[in-house]
Parts: sequence; C-alpha cells; structure tokens
Amino acid sequence: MTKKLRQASMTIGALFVCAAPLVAHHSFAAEFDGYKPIELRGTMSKVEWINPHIHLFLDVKDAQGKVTTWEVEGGPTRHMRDAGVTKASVDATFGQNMQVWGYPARNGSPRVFLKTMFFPDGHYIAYSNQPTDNSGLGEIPRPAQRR
Amino acid sequence: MRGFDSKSLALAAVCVMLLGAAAVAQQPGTTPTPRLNGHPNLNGVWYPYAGHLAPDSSKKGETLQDGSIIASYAYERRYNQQPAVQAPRPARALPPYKPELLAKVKDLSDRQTEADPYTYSCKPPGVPRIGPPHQIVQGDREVAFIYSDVNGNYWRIIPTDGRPHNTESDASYLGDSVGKWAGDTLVVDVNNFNDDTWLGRDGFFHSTALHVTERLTRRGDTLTYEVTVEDPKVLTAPWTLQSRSLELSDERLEEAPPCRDLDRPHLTNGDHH
Repeated sequence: MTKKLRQASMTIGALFVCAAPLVAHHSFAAEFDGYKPIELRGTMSKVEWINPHIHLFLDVKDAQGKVTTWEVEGGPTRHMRDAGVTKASVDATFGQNMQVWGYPARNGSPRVFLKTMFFPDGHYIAYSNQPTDNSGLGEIPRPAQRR
Repeated sequence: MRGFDSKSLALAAVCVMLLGAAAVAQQPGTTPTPRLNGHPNLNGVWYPYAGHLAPDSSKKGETLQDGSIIASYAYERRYNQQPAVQAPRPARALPPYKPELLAKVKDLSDRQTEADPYTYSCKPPGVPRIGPPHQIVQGDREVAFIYSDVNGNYWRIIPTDGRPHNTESDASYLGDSVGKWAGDTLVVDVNNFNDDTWLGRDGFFHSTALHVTERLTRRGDTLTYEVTVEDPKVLTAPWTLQSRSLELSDERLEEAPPCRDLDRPHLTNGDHH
C-alpha cells in the first residue's frame, strides 16, 4: 500500500503543480485556521450531504478511550463530486475508519475544513490547500505521514 | 491576505502564461454560431470561464490503477475563476452610490458576515449576483434561465414574444424578466425586485427600484454575458459589471441537495476576505 500511495502522490502531485487553493463561498479566515492542518483518525458516523457545504462526522477516540465526534466540512456537493467524492462514496464509509487532514476551527470546537481524506480502501482525495498552510505537508500528506 | 514568497510568485507567473496560452488557443468565433428560428441558439449548459485548462476535463474523476481518484483543484479554479496561486484580491469597482450612502455600504461591508442576505442564509442570491445562467433552454415564445447555485436550483422564465412585464406578481429575489432580440443579442429587462439581496459582496445593497439589463451574445461556442444595473434610489448612474465569457459544456445540471448552513455559529470575527 505504501508504494501505491507514493505512486499516487507523485502522479497527482504532478497534476497539482498549478493547483489553486479552495475558497469557501463564505469566509474561511473567520472560521478556520489555515496555517496548520491537523490529522484525525476516526470512524465515519454521519454524513450530511447538504449545500452550501457537506459535513462529515468522525468519531475520534483519544488515548484515554474518550470518543469525540469531529465535524469535517467540505465544499458544495458539486465541487465534491468534481473532486471525486460522491454521496454514495462517503455513505459507503459509514462505520469504517477514515483518516482526514483538515484546518481546525478557530473557536476551539471539534471541527475542521477538509484538506485531504484517505478512504478505507487506501485511495484518497485532496480537496483544499490553503495558501497560508505552513505545515510542510504540501498538497497531500505523503505516505510517510501515514502511520 | 498575506504575502507570498518568490517561489509562489514564480509559479503564479508560469501558470498565468500557461493559462493565457490556453485561452489564446480557444479564441471565440472560430466555429459558426448555431441558429434557431432566426436567432442565435443559446441552448446549452454554460460555464463561467474563458479558456480550457489543459489538464482538466480529460482527467476528471479518473481512477488510477491503484484506486486513487484524481481530484484536481483545477476544477475549483474553473468554478471560482481563480488564478493558480491566489493573489491579493484587487479592490472592486464600487457601484456609483449616492455620497450619503457610502457610509452605509462600508458599515454593511464591515458587518458582512452577519448582514449579507445571501451567504449563510440559503436564500436566492438575486440578480445580478446569481451570475450568468448555468443552462439556457430556448423556445419559440420564451427562454428559460436555469441556475445551479450553492443555495439551491433557481429558474427564470423570460418571454421573448413581446409580452410585457407581469405587473401582478409580487416583488421577488430574481425579479420579473422580459426579453427581446436586438440583432443577435438577447436583451433581458428585469424589474420588480425585493430588497433582500445585494448586488454583490462588500455591502453592495440596492433598493426595490433596482432595474437590471442583461445582454447575451453567442459567437461560436462562447457566450458573452453583460449586465448593467440601475437603481435611482441609491445610485447616481448606471453601473455596468465586468462582462463574463461562458463556454459551452456537455455537463448536466443536477437537482440541488437541501441547503442548510451550519457555519454561522462558528464565526469568530467579521473577516470576510
């Protein structure tokens, strides 16, 4: 899988040389920190396939076993489909483990704006990359960042 | 918006050159303009961008052998008309508001995240903020403009057979439209608006006296969309927006999902840039 992911990263990365940052239809800066995306690993527990933004919910367990439901905000349904994400594709992940990188909410609530999402079968989509992102992850976190 | 390093700027320059070359290769007018009942045929799905972005359409949704799905930001750029690397947003031309109303515009702009009637509301954006039609269906007596907006699907039925404005209807978000052909240009006259929309972001409010004129001209597979706004209650002169170039697309519009905003409670300040 690691080799496959590396190949995919290289292939898609090449396509993304001229990548543009996604801008939500509303203010990003008032709501999310575009500097440092965080990583979430959890179980898909709910899908809100709505506009103007889709919302996915991950049940994330911390080291003590406490479960927190994190909200992952994406874009409009049409943008998501163009990014390779359909309602059916996320509905199919219900109850499965997902890995998400996202920009955290400024108000401290358990929410992120979607950057990259790895599906259980190993494929992934890259959705947004803020121009302020100084995490060093690049467009897509490299396989080495997967544990 | 923050600064950029030299690498970003160099990348932006290269991308602008590439995109420029793509645009030049797609000059309008190289294909004949289809006609329908003596007029240009405006039927089709139209997208608001000029010039194809080379790596896009052929790769959309493609699944690689390893199962990875190509998710190109280029699609986002196409929708948003953004340059490859986001540059500081240039100051927009301010509509010619009456001087005594400029303070109100600034106040609304400063409070945009709460005052904007469109964003966070799931309400119709109004005309001209809704932009060019996403699909046009052209009949003998009327033309339909269909929109796939993030706030919902909207439509306008525009008589083109000489019928006058409907004076019986309530004021509305998208107004009342009538159209006529002026040569090869479809001219749409829109009035009877409510004032629960803005002309655009940044506090560009209007009154119920809003009067909009749209002009649509097809040349080959390119549609030019021009808009002029008049509002004698708040503007001192007509305001003409920057014209838009649309390209014919083979995509299909889809039913919009429910619109429900979950963001407003999480805003931490009024920043809308």
